[in-house]
Amino acid sequence: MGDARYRRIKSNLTEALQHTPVAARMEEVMDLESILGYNVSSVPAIIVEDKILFEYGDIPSAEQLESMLRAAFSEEAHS
Amino acid sequence: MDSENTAAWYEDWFDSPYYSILYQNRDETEARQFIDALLANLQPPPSARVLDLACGKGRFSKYLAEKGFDVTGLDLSFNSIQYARQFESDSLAFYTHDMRLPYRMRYYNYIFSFFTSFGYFDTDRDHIRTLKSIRAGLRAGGIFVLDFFNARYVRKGLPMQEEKELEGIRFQISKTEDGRFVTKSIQFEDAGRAYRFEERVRLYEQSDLERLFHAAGLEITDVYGDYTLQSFDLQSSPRIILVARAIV
Repeated sequence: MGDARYRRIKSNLTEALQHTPVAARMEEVMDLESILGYNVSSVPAIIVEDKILFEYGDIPSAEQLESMLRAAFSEEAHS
Repeated sequence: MDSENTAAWYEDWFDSPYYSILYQNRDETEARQFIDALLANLQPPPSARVLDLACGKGRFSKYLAEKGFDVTGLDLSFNSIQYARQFESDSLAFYTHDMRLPYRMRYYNYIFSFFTSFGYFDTDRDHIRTLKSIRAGLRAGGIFVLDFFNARYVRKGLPMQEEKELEGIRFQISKTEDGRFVTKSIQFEDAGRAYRFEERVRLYEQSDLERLFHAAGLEITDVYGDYTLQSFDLQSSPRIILVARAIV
């Protein structure tokens, strides 16, 4: 299931995580009820620690995702 | 597609250049008249958000956008969406998307599935999942329209065989049914290579569709039987066009 956008976001996220100095586990959620439970406005979306990192628009590049992840993990560390 | 290829038929066929060749003489006028009749019936407000699900190369998404609606076209075919993007504007956007997953949540006033873009999956589960995803995309009071064939009417014309020559390619086409699916087999040769594609669609009858819609939380409000929106007749209508609202 899924399409080119899903494959691209997964590939970009995998690459971004490899360059992010945090041990993170990626989980792909395709169950419809679970997706609806995340309360995102659109899918594909990226959730990090229950916070929405990406939910609508052009799929971010691996570099953009790396920056977004670094910011999210930094925020998490300081909270 | 080679016979060894195991991808679902709709993943290969709609991305194939031969699909466009075979269907190049579709009756666009009738299709546009249908959309006009539907819009006259539904009376969407100006700037209504409209989703054209399984939009192909975007012809009817473009037509809807020209009428002033804010339109999104979604299709699984990467090549079709790449083509459709030439039509994008402030009120028209295209994305590849698998209809079994929701796209934007609680966003659209209208979601349209035109010209038998439903019934492609093997299981009821995937079809219910598609309808649930559609329901998730509708705003409160939003409307979903499904344009599907009348299975009872289609069965009368089976089995069927025909040949068509288009752009120097001789297409041999046959249609058969096995009780659950109607299968259209398309065989031809091009540049010394043999090809075989299939279209395989579930023979859902009105009662089946009602069951699926109910399971997905969609309430059917109107049923039409052709592109001029005449009442549906199980024996004689060529189409079944269902208008449904999300059950709150």
